[in-house]
Amino acid sequence: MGLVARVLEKARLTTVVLTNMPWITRKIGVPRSVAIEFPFGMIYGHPGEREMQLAILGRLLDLAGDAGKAGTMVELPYTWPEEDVRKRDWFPEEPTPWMADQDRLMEMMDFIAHGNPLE
Amino acid sequence: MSVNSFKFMSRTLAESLQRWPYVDTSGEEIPWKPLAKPVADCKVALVSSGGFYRAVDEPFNLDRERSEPLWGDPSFRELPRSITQEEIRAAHLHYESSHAMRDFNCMFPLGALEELLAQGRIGSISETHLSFMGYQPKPRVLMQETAPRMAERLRGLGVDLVLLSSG
Repeated sequence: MGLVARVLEKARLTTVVLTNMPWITRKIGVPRSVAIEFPFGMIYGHPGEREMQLAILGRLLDLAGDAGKAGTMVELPYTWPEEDVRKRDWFPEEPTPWMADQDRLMEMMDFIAHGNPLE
Repeated sequence: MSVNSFKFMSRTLAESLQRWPYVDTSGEEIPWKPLAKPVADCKVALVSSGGFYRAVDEPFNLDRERSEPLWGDPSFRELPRSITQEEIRAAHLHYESSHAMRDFNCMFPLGALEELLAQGRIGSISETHLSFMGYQPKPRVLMQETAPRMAERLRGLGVDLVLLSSG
C-alpha cells in the first residue's frame, strides 16, 4: 500500500494512507498516513458502522488539507473492543499458503533472510 | 507510537514482518504533492489493497499463489462509484473477507464518502475507484507497472485526492 502511495504521489496525486501496520508504513515512508488499531478486513470498523467510517474518512480528509510535511502520521485513538479481539474473526479459514507446510515455510524463511524483493 | 502494528496476527507472521526484506526506500525522499485547492473542492477516489473486484470481472489469481506462495497477483481492478453489495467480491488469502461481503464499507467506504459529499466536505467523487491485492512479497511489477498505470487512470478521471487503505 505504501509503495503504491509513493508512486501515486510522485505522479502528482495527493494521497493519504489508512494503515493498521504503522511500523511498516513508517519504514516504507509515505507522504501522509493515519494509523488505526483495527484488524485486517475491518480497517474502517465493524460492518455497518457508518458513524465510524465517517469519523475515519473525516480524519483522512483533515490530514489531506493540513499536513505540511512528507512522512506525517496521525494516530487514531480508537481501540478494538476486547470481546471482539477474543473472536479472532479476521483470520481466514484457509491456511496462509506460505505457512501451509514445512517446505513452504522454509522457502519463505529463506526469502526473508536472503531474498531480493525486487527480483 | 501507541498503535500496535502486530496485534491482529500470529506470532510467526509478526516475527516475519519485523525481519522482512522490504523494498529499501531510504535513499529516496518521500514524494510530496500538496493539494492545489481546498478539500471541499477536490475530486476524491478510494484505493484498497483488499483485492476487491466486480463479480463480472476476473478475480485476482489466488490459485497461482496457492502453488507459488512467494507470488501475489500484481494486477488491479476498477470499481464503479455505484457498485452494490451484490456486485462486489474480494479475493485475498490473508484476511477474512466475509465482513466486507456483508458491508464492503468496512473496507471500502463509498457510502460514507457519498454522505461526506452531501455534507459538502468534498467537491466530488470519482466515477471509478481502484483495488489491488496487497499480498506482494516481491512487489517489482506492482511498483513499476501496476502503480504507474493506476496513477495514469486516476489522473485521467480527474482525481485530486486518493484515500488508500490496506486489507
